[in-house]
Amino acid sequence: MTEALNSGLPTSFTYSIEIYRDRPNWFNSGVAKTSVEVICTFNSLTREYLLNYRRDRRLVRSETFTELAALERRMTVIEEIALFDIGPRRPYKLKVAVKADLMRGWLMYVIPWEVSTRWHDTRVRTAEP
Amino acid sequence: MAKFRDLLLRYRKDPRFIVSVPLTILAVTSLVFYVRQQADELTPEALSNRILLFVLWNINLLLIIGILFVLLRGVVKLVLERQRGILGSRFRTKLVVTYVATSLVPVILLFLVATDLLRLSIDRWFATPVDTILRNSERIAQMVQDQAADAAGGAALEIASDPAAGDVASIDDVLAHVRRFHQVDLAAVYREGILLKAQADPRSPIHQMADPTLRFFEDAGRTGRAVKIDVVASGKWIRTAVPMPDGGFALAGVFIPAAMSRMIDESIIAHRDFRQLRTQRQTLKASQTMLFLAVTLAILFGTLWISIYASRRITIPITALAEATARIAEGGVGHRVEVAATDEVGRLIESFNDMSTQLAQQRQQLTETNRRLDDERAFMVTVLESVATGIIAFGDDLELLSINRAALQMLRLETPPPGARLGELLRAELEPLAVALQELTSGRSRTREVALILGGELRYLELSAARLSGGGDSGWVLAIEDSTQLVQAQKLAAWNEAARRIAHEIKNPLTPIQLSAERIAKKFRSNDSDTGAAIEQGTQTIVDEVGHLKRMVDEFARFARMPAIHLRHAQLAVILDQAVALYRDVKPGVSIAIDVDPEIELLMDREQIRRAIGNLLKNAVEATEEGEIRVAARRAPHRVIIEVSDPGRGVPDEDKDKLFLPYFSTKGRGTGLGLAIVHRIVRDHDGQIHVHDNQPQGTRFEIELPA
Repeated sequence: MTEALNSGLPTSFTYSIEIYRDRPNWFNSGVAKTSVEVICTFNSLTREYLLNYRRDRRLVRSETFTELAALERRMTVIEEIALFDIGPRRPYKLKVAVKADLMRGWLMYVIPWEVSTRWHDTRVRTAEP
Repeated sequence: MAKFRDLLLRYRKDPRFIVSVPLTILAVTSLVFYVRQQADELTPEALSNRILLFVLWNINLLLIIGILFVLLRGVVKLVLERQRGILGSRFRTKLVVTYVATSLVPVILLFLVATDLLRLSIDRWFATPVDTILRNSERIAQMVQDQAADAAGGAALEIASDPAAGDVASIDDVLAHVRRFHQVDLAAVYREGILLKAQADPRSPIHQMADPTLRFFEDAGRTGRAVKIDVVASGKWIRTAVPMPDGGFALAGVFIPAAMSRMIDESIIAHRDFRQLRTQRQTLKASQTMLFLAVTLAILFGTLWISIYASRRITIPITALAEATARIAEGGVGHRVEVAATDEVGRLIESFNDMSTQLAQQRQQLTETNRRLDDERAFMVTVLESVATGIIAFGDDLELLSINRAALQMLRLETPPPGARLGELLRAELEPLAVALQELTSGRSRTREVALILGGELRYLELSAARLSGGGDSGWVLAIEDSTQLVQAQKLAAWNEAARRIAHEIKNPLTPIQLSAERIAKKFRSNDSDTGAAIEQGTQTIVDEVGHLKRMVDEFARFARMPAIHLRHAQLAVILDQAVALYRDVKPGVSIAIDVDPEIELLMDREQIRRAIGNLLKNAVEATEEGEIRVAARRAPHRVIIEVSDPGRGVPDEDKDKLFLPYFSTKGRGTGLGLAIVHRIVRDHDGQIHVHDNQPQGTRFEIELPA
């Protein structure tokens, strides 16, 4: 991963985040979903990492890093204050599923093969006042 | 619109149309959709790369789908055709299997070998010392930049460590001293991200350089040192910042001129590109493999398609020929194969059509001939049924082939069943007819008279047999003429003539007898002196005439008692010599010449034939005053002809048809039975006798005897 990053190729993670209302005895009810994509490109001439942050295919911000550690932290931690706007509904028993598309490969050099993480669920907690 | 519909109707069953249209639509739709979705998030390089892979992948997918579709469609059609027993399906299956097998194996082998060789080449390419050279080149370039950064860092650190740098009045001296001592192109002090003081080499393009960002100073404050490299139009700036004790930042910079900067950048970019390629090695292999796969699948698709198309092109005319042959075999002549072909199969079809046309014409001619034959047969049947002559046709095995109504009436037969045997019909009263039939078919004669007693009535039938010629069957045609009335009339006429002749012959001697008797009586009453002589002369006359009457009666008796003939093989020349010997030199001036083939041998009654020839010679000698009588015998087809010609006075035409009647004579003397006897002997030998005028004069008798 680091080698691919330092080669100057655009390297990206795609986070798919979906929020559900949990219904234990029935199918979960989808409430909202979004995708966050972080694309990093290393400029070997200036030794800087350019990170583009995209939300639902729209560029939100661009940042420049000179340290790899700071870049890695920025790429793997999503700090969004208002990720979803679910309106006045009470967010009881909601869960979040996150999936990161790591890379693409080719099976037998012919069949496209995507490497992704599994879905992770977590309970949403009410924000502390 | 109508034109488009016509095109659609024309090509809707074309396999190329069926396959290519959906594949094209699917490919275009997929490509547009993907480009629409992905175009706004990728760099041009990545876009082109991913689009290439996407296009290749879709081409491969479409080709695979196309191959499976064509293959399954062809297989299903072949299986259905074989189940339905359609002609040519087995041949087409063999052709398709052969085509596919001969192309599939080498193409797949070539694909495997080529892709493996390609991947091996790519791996070897990345395993060469190129990586080492490029990496070292980049390291050297980076070391140059690091040295510049370290030099700038040392200068910045000295500025930050100099207490005079915090004093505004002396900062310029510090910066100028540090810049000269460390030989950097820029020395500056920043406070809160804002430039406080700076000393720069006037030759350096400081105006092309932007101010550092706050993040740069934050990094320097957090890590104790921050390096920033800026690429400008005339070269490259390398700046290093370190924090100062009073919260500011000391910054020093080194400018690398364009010539060196370009070499450094080229080294870095070359290694970067190499690393990118190495990172994308799997993708590169995949793209090349997919490219090969696309070519392979395209070849397979084309081969499969062509094989099915070619097999159909080959089998369609052959199937049409087979079907047409079957139809002709079932009787459907004139059937033509309407399949366009220009090769040898085309010539075969042309020949077949010609053959079919000729067959139709021949059948039409045959039908016409049969109809004409039927008409002729009906006509013949009508004729045969209407004629008074009885006609019987039968085979060599005596199977009855045909018998007309006249024959049935003559023979008093019922209509026989088909296939009846002639021997079964000619029994009892008709037995003599069967015997005569056997003689006729044995070849001894072609005509025969038969007397039958049918229902107590004597019937005379004249039979005439002819050989059936032509055709596969052989047999005979027997014509039966009822001559009962004719024979009876002839007999009656003959007897009338005989009675008249007998009366005349008897009357002729009676007159001299009567005259002699009256003279004797007259002389006896007158008692003349010559009475004795007259009595003697009269009695002599009476005795002579009575003797003549007696001889005439004896001849007639002999004629009536003609013995039955006894047939034996004999040399005709010997018989004729014996007959001629009796009449040679009997009359001065008359000679007899004989010209007979000594090899002629006949079945005959030698005495009767010698008597007949003798009678003819006797008449010839009597009719000839001077000259040569000629006796000749020669062979003719199925018969022997004996001629006796004389140069005498000849026979008038009006007497020729009465010449062979009893008691008919042109000589004024004789019994008139000689030629009648000759005629009867010849008839007894199943022969015929004719009288002709001899040339230049005289009479010529011609006897025909069966040989």
